[in-house]
Amino acid sequence: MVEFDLHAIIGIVKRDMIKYFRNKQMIISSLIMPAIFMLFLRPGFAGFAGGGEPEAWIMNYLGAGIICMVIIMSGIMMSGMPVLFDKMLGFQDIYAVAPVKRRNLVLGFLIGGALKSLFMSSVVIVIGLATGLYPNMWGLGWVGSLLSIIPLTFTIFFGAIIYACIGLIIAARTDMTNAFLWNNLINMPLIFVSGAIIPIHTYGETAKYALLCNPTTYMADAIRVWLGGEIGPAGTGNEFFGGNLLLGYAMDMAILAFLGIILFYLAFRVFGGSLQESSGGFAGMIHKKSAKAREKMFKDLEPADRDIMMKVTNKIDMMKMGQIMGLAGDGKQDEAMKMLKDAGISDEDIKGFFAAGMRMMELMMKKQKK
Amino acid sequence: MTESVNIVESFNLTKAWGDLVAVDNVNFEIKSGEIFGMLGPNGAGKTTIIKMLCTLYLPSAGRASVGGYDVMTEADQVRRIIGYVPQDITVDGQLTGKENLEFQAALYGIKGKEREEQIEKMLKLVQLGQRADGIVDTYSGGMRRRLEIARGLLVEPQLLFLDEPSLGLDPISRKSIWEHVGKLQKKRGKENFAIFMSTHYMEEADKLCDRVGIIDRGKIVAMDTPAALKQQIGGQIIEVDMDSQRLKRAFKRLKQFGQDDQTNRFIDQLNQVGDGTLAIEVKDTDTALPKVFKIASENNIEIQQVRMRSPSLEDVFIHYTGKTLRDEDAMDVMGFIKRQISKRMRSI
Repeated sequence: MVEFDLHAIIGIVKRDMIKYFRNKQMIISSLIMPAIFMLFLRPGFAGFAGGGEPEAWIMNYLGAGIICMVIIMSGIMMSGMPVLFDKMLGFQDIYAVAPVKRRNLVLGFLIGGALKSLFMSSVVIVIGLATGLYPNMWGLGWVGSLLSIIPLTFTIFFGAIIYACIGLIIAARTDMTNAFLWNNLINMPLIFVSGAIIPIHTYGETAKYALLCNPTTYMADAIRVWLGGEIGPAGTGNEFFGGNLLLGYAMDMAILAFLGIILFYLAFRVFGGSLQESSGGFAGMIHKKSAKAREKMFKDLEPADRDIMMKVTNKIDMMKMGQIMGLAGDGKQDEAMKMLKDAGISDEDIKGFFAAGMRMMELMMKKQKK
Repeated sequence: MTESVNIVESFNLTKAWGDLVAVDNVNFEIKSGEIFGMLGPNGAGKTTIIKMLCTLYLPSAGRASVGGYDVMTEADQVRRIIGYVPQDITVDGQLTGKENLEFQAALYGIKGKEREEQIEKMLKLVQLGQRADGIVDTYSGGMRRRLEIARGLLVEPQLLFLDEPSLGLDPISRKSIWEHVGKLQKKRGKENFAIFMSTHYMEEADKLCDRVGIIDRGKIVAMDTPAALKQQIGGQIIEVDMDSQRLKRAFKRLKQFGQDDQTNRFIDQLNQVGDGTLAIEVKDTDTALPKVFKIASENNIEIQQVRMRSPSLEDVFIHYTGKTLRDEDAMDVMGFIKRQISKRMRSI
């Protein structure tokens, strides 16, 4: 069972939140963007609406689209930025030397990034509620609107974690300047080549497949379920489940979850690797690499010799091996024997190992002479 | 833990990036309770050694253990018993002093009341109690460094790594930091608390460290107590000042008549330590001084000033590496430029 260190995760999230909410300029600028879109694109979108209620249309496409935009932009930027800064300022060393498993650090940064996305998305919801855009959910009036915020929050947080993974991967692999380039490169297609803002059916048949490959399409669809009370007219779930909201939502979330697991694993590997791998991981990797190297090293030996060399070197790491070789070379065979014994190698194997080692040395000498 | 136990052991520890060998087969051990100082010019490999012992860098070859745990295979256990104060100041400027320590406590799983108490204690120790709720960006350099040390000590490590702790600090801040460290060691009991520091302040190492290792180009060239190292040189140092234009000739002549000439040899080692200053290591100043003057007058070298003193740790460093700490970089750059120019001249 994978265990998480709650204290460390909370510590990282708390630090992230303190820094974000202490930076007034950051808050204002990050809230203004969705507010402006919400207020100024509304008239245009109202005209867009083909049939039915324009309010539902606005929330379905403009609202969900802006939330997706916020999640992508802030998810990639906001969760990556602290990591980039920490890297630049050398702060990363502080958590890299702490006895914390890397997955806790990754999760801490992801949750921090997702909470920021959630905070920014709330602007859309608040404006929607305040300007009477919120649709009549389940025919319950404002009670329905408030109730729907609970699953909506969950959905946004869930999506935000996925995009935060991308931000973390970029941040771990590049520096400040290049991270901005990558962000721009990834942000735009993720937002616009999706069914987030513009209905999927308005695209051509081939473009539709590109849209279906973009996770944003599913995220927008899932958000739409709780924001407009329906899956978009040509939403993905709609096509498969005949407009059944819950089934459509479940399918969207399942696709997102699958993607999320892959991205979390990647973020863990890349970010953890950039910190320097924790205990077993790295040594294990070296061992695997060394197996190939050893096979190459022993390839000229007789099969029996090769087997015994592989058998012994499998039980002992290469660093120790060097030490043993050094001792044997210095004529301290007893000490070398003791080290091999300590590593749990039987007397017989040790004898065979030394004999094979001698033959290997002879072979190498001959080769050099040639 | 008894006093004879080694908290750090390194065996042929090596770190290389491609062709660049930063640390080259380094062997040493540090006893628990010891203050060990690593002296060396910039780029000698001090930080690389510390980072390998802190599990931040993976050794390219060899191995090292901290507290009996291997830094490669048992990194988590190593991390649990060390505190690390990096060379660059890395406290978070946007947080308050207290929040910085709270973050550290969270990473190490110190919680609840214990966390509060421990933070309070550390802030008091480094005298930051009153400014604990101030944003770190408003702190002075000395305060930040003190906060960093408090952070390193928060987890009550058995071994504290201090990488150039007094870099960029004024003498007063430096002194107060060392007072704090001393206080702490007294409080914790000496045998439970070792310090591994790197520095290029000679006086600091001389005064504070139980043992020092001198490192140059990735290799440890000498290691012992400061007193023993100074004794190894033995004898005395004569420093002579002269016109810098004459220095090269003076160096050549002194080497020729005082060091290379086996019958009249009286100079143990000869080093340039400043623009127009030579340091002459001799066994006995009473007999050596007239000889120095004789060589000078015979070769028409005017000596402006003469000083005599016992060897310092700096002399030990010069003895082993053949260069001064301070001028290392500058001298290398000048040498490089000169070599380049002479190359061009030859090709013309």
